[in-house]
Amino acid sequence: MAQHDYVIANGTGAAVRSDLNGSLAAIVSNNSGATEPGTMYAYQWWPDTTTGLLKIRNAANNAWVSVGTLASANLGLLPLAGGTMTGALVVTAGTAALPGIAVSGDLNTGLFSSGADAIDIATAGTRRFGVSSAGELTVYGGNLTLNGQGDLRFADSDSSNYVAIQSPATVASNLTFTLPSVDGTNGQVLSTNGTGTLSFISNGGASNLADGTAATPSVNFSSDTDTGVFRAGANRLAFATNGASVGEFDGSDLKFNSGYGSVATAYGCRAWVNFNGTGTVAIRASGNVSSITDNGVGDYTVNFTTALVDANFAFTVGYRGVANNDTDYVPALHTGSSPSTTAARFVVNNMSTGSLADIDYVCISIFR
Amino acid sequence: MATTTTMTNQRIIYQTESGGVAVIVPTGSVELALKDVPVGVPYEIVSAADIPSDRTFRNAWVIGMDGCVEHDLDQCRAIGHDKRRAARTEAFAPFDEIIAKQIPGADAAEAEAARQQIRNKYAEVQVAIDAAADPDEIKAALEATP
Repeated sequence: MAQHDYVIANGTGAAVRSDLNGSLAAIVSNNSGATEPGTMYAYQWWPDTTTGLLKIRNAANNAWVSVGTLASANLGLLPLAGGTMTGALVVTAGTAALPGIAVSGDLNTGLFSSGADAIDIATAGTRRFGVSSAGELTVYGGNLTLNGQGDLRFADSDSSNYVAIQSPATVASNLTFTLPSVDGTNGQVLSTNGTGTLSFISNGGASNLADGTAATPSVNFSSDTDTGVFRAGANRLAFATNGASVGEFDGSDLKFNSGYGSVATAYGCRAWVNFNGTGTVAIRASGNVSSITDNGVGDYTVNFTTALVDANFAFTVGYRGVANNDTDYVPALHTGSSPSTTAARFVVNNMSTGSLADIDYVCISIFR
Repeated sequence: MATTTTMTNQRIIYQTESGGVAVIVPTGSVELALKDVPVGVPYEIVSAADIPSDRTFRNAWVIGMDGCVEHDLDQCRAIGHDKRRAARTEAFAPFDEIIAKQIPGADAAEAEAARQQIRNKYAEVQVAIDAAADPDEIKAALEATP
């Protein structure tokens, strides 16, 4: 350690020589010492052995600037090859075109701050992603991709649990859903137009389906795709099983394949009744029958709950014969009255006596 | 289409044009069956238990002053006589055949005697029916016929 005022005073040869040696000793030790040199010059080095810092005099020669730590490698400075900083790295805010922290050789790609308390990422001189002072994350202009079936999670108020959405494990081709631009009404559900555009529709509301065929019904089952409902033609709703049409409703008729190989109109039983005509007359079961009228022995009127479209219906009447009695009974329409849309009167004739008879099982069906 | 398997225990009764009784047996509520009463015809709603379960004289039913089903005794007698005649005809049949066809080996005189016994027996039934004070006595007279 040596220090010198770098002034060679006049003197004897030995004194001048000693003064020169003192100044050289100060030079080779970079003016090191426990205290600052007595005479200081701008840009003068001073290894401060008291603080262990290498210092250099500033340009104005009125203060010392610390350069590094004497006992540390590379004076404790971050090497060009990289290293670990123990303090903050403070850089300029920069811009998207010239980020404060940029990539070597690509100075328009890096980190910058678009405003107070905000941090942004720029690529190719354009802001791509930002976090505002309010903590809002924004992706500018590009897409956000969560690789590897990653979740998009929405945490609850204390962030203890979340609701997430994710992609299926396998997606054959890219699929984009476009959300509706306005909210739906209460109870509506999201519906797709088949190309990813979503809209709100009323639950149970109209859905426009393709017609389909018996082989590929429009409404079918994932486990049985050739069984379901399809449109057989204008105003024709059809049903298929195993790829074949088995029934349909058209504008006026119900048609079905009853086993004869083709779909044909089925004519329905419009009313029926099974009753006991003996003792206390009682109805066992019925359909579209509001009552029967007991007009007398073997004489009954069947009254319809819902009137038939006209009185030109067909009917069948069955009965149970009397045990151990070979008497023939003939059920028939009552001769004194005509069927109407609301009722039909029947009698049971005892062919042995020629008079009417009460029968315990009388079954009447009306077809139209 | 609704299928009815239960019905009310009530009945609607009204007098027919011929003076008899029509009994409406509803499949459901009696109110729904009121439409089956002919328009403008008075009716009564009664319990099914109030309708006679014995239909021997069904065509003699009338609606009494109290609105309940009763028997017209004259009509009961007429029905009783019809039944008596039918039974007598049935009893006559085998003997009529012997006499009418003169079947060889058959005793026509014996057949005629049997016919007379039948006449006598049903003549007694006829008297009993005419003397009956109620339908039960008419029915008893008929059932007494072997």
